Amino acid sequence: MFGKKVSEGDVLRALRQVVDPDLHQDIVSLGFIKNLKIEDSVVSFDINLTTPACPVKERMREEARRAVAQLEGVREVRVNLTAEVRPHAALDRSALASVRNIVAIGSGKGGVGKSTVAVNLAAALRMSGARIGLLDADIYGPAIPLMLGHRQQVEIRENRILPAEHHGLRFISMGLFVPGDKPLIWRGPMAHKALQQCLFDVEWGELDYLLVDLPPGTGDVHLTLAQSVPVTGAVIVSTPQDVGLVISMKTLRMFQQTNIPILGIIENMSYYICSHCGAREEIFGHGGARHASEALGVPFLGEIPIDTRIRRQADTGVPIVLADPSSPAATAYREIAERLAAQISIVNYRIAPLRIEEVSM
Amino acid sequence: MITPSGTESPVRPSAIKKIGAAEIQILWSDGHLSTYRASYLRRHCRCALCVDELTGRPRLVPETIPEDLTILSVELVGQYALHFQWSDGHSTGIYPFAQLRALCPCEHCANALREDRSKGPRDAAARE
Ligand SMILES: Nc1ncnc2c1ncn2[C@@H]1O[C@H](COP(=O)(O)OP(=O)(O)O)[C@@H](O)[C@H]1O
Ligand SMILES: [Mg+2]
Ligand SMILES: [Zn+2]
Ligand SMILES: [Zn+2]
Repeated sequence: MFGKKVSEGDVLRALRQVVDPDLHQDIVSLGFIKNLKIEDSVVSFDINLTTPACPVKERMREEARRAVAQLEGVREVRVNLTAEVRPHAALDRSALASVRNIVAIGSGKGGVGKSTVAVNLAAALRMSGARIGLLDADIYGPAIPLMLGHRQQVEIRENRILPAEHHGLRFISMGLFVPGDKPLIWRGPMAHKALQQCLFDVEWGELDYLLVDLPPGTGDVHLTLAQSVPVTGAVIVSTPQDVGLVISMKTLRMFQQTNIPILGIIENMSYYICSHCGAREEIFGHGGARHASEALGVPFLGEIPIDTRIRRQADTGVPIVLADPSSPAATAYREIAERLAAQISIVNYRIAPLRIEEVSM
Repeated sequence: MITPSGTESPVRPSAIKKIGAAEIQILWSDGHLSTYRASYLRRHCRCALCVDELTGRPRLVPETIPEDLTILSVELVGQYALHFQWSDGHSTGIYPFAQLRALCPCEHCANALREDRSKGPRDAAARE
């Protein structure tokens, strides 16, 4: 072979042109480039992304490939995509060190589809390769075991509670920690204790994301969560009904008051898809959540159609994301999951966790 | 209608320091620096033992707090508040950052508060 031999420095310089659109920084200084090898004019490297659910991974791969291919002396470029979810920096020192991110899912009121969203986002993130846990903290209407088709039995091993596991998702319901079988009036201290057990006494193992399905509105469970663990951020689910949104604002403020970043708003039951022709039919009031997001300066994560199959799949215990991954509803959930994962990466990148420095006099 | 009022992200600390045994310093995200003496913070405790929950009236007599009170320990509550163990044995109060910012004893903040007060009641805002 004649001509110039390409060096690692040349390759890295070229890769500095590739910018992560979410983090607004080039992939070299972000430390994404791993295992760079140059053999016989063949350049190969990994791009280690911040989430396997990265919405722009193929675009970054292509940009990186092209940037390096342009260099003189390069015959072939092999780009391998890997992903490592970065932990919320305050979590590695807590009792939940094996969990990288805790994400709260809230709503202003019940019945907006919060649990259905939680389960389908969990399934979508799992399909991308992330390790997922679901904590069903909605004491007023525990739903997750049913939606995942699993009648949960708690197993205890060496004083640790093993979560149920189905469809590759680990999950547990706070309802399990309530003594007795009669309908209960939950009071603060009881909810507090049950949530702490679900967080600290459960053998979650390594998780990239632990999604917490909160009760609607605001209350003791929210406060306990905010006080007990560093929460990466919160998602708010609302519907096109304006009323729901106004209530959601209260929930939103509560997260902000406890310093939990808002990862975004999701509008559920946003439009119909005609079962005959597949056309999209808007619903009165649709778009309110998007406008509210813009006004509030928080991300809008997306819209989910009204689709009876979403309900039917939830009722039969196989979320639609798993049952029919190419359906429009599943696609909507998957895109929202990707945007959510991107927002989590942004928060972890941007917000330095708090710590108290002790200075002696 | 949806109004964005009151939902702006609050100022948050970017650094928290415990200096010696009796001082806390917070650098805020807007660049402001607050320095608090332990005795000052202890006197502003809002826990149920220090403030009557029903009437909102103080139960704590500020003069009973020694000037040389110290901090035995300070820790974060989630990512939104501080919790102290004071040398007088008290430890039931939680200090959310919003409250700490409002309590900043620096001259600038004290003046701003005084001007605000003279303009009229600010009860609602203070409670938020
Ligand atoms: N996009 C949707 N289209 C049709 N039905 C839905 C949709 N989202 C949720 N549902 C149904 O609405 C009901 C309430 O949903 P759920 O997730 O339990 O709400 P929440 O947890 O907010 O109380 C359930 O029967 C669910 O199957
Ligand atoms: Mg629910
Ligand atoms: Zn007190
Ligand atoms: Zn000040």
